[in-house]
Amino acid sequence: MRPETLLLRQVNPSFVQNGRVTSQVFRPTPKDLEMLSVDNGDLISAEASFSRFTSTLNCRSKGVLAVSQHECSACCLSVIEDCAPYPEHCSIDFRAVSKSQTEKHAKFLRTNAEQRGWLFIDSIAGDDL
Amino acid sequence: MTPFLKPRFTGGRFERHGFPLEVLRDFAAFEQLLIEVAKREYLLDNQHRKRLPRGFSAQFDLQLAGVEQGSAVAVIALVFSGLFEPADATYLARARDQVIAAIASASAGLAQELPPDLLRYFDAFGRSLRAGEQVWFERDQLAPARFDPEVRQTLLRASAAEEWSEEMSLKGRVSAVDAADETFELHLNNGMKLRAPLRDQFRNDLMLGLNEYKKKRQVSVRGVVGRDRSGRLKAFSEVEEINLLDPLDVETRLEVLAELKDGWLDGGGQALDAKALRELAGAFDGFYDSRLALPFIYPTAEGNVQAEWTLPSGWEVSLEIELSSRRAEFQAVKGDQLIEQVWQLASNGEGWSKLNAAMLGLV
Repeated sequence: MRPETLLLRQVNPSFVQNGRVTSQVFRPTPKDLEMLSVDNGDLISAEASFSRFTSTLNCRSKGVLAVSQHECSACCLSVIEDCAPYPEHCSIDFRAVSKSQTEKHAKFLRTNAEQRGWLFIDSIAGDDL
Repeated sequence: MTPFLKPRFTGGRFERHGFPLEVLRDFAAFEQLLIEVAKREYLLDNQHRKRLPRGFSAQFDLQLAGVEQGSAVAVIALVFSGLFEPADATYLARARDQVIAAIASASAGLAQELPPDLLRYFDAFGRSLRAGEQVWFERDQLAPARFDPEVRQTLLRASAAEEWSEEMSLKGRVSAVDAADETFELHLNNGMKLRAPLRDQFRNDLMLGLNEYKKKRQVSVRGVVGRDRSGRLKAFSEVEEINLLDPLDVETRLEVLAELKDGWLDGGGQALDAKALRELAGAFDGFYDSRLALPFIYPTAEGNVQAEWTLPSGWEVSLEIELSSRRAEFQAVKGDQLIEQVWQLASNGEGWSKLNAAMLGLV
């Protein structure tokens, strides 16, 4: 993985309001066990990543944002190429980070992802408002 | 002057011991209802007559003589056009007792004695009552009769009316303005579209709302809406107020979040408590400093909310609010600078003043 490798992240429609996404997109939820799921953008396109995610039962996405491996490193977050449950899968590791630092890093990652813009956006799925 | 009727209003707006002016319109409808019942009583007693005496209803006038404390008690007096009480006044007293008995029957789920055509007058009486508000009518030797929006609904269902009306405030987007028909269309957030009369004083706001339809600009429309027997909304018959809402209107956003079901986040994600969200919306309205930018608000996986601000000064701010306890974790980040606080956003406004002060320091 290169520093400029983009890590693709699906965005739940409820995490978008008037086009702005929440920093929660870039922090693990309780079920994630402090590992944030992303796809390796060197191995899969944003659109293909979106299609695979939304074809799974109960999984909804407004589109795909991304942070780079370098941006994760700037927060001292390691990226694990775990290749499971599929070959392109990676995890951003928050296990050694406090709740306060997790939220702070999530803000930093959100800002960078927002500046990069949507890599893929579903024209059908609206955000909730 | 002997009071003719002393209905007691409780709940909601009446707990502030005053009378919302819009409720006064209901009294006019109540007077009309009493006169119609009195006419029927007169004709029953005078079956030889084919019609009412000339000026039958002009003999009486119901007036609001005062408001007593104890929630809000309206003192309604019966005044006469002449110097002396007319003999026909007894029919108005009988009408009053029958209408109150009809209300008591509806409240208790009993059959109606008033005919359906008279029950239709309840369309205008009680229309301004909101959920949680009641009117109590005293009765001799009996418990007071309760009248509230549900009892009104029961009475209207027992009437011959195919459709009746309710005062309500609805939110949505302006999807059409028809200058020829002088109407506009409100596209509700549940997908339904309602027609409404176009009044000149609202034209500019409606055109602005229409132009921003695709940007999902919300408006709130308050007025009288028809509802059919199946409970379906039909159209606005009157529009009293229109407000263009801020794109980040907190109450509207929290209403949307209240619709989320368990599992909203890829199978996880807890539903948010609707009552707690309504209370939070009220607290935001009451305590959040109006000089500050409104936040973006998102649900959290745990069934709470997170407010966020991206300030022009470069600060990224979040406020995670636990709905059940109102515990709020504040974090502001700008480069290497970090500010963190934990507050209780209490109903007396104390935590809110700390939030306001912190935000004003970052602007």
